[in-house]
Amino acid sequence: MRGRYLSGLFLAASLFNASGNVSQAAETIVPGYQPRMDSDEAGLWLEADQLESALRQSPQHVADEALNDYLETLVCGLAGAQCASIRVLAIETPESNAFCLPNGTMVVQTGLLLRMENEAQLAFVLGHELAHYLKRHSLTHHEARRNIEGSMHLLWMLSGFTLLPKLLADGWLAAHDRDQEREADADGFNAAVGLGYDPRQAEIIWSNVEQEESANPKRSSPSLFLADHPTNKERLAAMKQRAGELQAQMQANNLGTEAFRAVILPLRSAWLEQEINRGEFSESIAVLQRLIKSDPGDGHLQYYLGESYRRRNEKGDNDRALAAYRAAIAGTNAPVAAHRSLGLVALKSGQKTAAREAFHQYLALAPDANDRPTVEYYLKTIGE
Amino acid sequence: MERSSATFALILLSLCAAGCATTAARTARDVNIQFSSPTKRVLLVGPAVELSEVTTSGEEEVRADWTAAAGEFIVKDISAHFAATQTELVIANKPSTPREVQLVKLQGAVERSILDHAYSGGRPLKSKKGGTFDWTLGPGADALRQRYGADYALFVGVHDSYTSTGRAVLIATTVLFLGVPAPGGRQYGLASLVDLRTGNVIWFNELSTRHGDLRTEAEAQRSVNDLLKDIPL
Repeated sequence: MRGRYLSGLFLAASLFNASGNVSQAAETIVPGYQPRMDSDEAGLWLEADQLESALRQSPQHVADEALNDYLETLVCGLAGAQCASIRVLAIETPESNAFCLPNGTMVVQTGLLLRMENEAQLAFVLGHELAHYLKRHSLTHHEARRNIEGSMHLLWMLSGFTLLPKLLADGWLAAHDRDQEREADADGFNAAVGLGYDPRQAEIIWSNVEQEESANPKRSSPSLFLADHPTNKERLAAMKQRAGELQAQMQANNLGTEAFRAVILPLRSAWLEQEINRGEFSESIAVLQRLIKSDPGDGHLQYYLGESYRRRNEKGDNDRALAAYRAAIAGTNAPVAAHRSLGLVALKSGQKTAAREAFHQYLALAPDANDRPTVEYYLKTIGE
Repeated sequence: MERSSATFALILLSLCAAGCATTAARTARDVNIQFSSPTKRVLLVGPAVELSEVTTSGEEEVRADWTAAAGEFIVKDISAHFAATQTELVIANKPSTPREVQLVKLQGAVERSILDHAYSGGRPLKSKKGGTFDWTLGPGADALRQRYGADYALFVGVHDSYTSTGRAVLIATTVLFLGVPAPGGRQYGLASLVDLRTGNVIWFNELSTRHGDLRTEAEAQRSVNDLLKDIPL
């Protein structure tokens, strides 16, 4: 009796899970495309429109004109005939990500821009996100998820709330998502290389991500079964293979480093402050060390490297911080705060003379600093 | 079996007793409606409308066609309400200046505070004891008055969801096996009337029901009437 209920209800549920308006297997979007009002896709677009408008009104929306023009041009090139359907929004957040909403809004987070080394790398990432949009992945993901979760929800209940149906559904959906990621990796790669970007840069992105994540001993990687993205290692290897195949055939070697730096460098110090305020100092150190390789004399980078060591405060970090502050002061554009931090860490390390010198230097350079009384108090404690 | 049906009926009845009471309007003390010009003008901000379908697993899927239809019905019904008192309704669909954006966000924050502190189940504030309903956006709201020439603004947001066939099957299953229905669709709306000269919220209403259908004109009108119940305008 109960068994009949079970199979009958399960069948009914799987029939009804899909609402009456399921679009057929999504095809690539064409220029000027608008979903039918009664479709699932129109619902997704409506939500995306609301998110887009909230992001535009958010204080995190970066208003910098040069950056916006630059990103628009880059994405437009990658989108080709679809250029007019895409709008780019730069959002200030230390998170390293970009995503394309189903309505064609490309969201680029500044944490990603901070980590990219040149235009070619950025082109591979944005090409990937664009591929999700062009292949309408959010729609297929949405429909796949609704159908599998609907069926499994019922089975889960009827099985007396055992975990297995849910776990199977989650695993199936994660595998589905990983396939979408692989497809976007391949399409994004082809789009960027088609514009002449150096194919080797795609694998560098993944080796950089891997390097940053492995610097953090606390970071846990998702289980292979439930991960919705392929592993960094798999993506790195796939990109490497693609680049190898292409290199023989074509002369794609554009890095676009100068254009990229002209736009990014003036904005970078604010992003660095946010980066270290994430509190993941080991990751920030990996990022900063990599950035310093390209700009060893940049006082800002060295200062924030010093701040990361100072705030991580592990064994040996005091000495590393002191070295970084000294490199910052010897470099260009070091913030005045580098002297204060140098003083603090020197004081902590028992180097009174160095501390005194650094504090004096700080007060000389910033006589109206808000924390002048605090710094004077420190000076007093070391005998002045 | 007999017994469990009776239990179920009782549960349904008790759910209805709680859930079918649809509105809870609050009005500030000493409301004295006054227009500064013979053209009595009220600004409608929004309405923010979203209609969705509850999937088998209980998630809400936004439906663009239903949302668009309901939005039109609601504007039409609100306009009709004010037309009856010779009041001119100006509609501000989207805030256009950063100042307006901030005011609309502020209204949302005040609305959440009202729900948190002035409604049942909320935590009453010590500063607002004695049952007075005094909430305000502050005199900065005057920016909207300057822009639209309206003395009052009505902020409206409505969210409505409908049980899909798959969800109905699931609800039937939970009734059969657990004796209680899983939640289905629900209609929820908020409306506040603000005096733009002072920023004071002079009237506020919450609508919550498991009935109603904003996709049809007649039902939408009934919901708007419920939502505007006891509005002092």
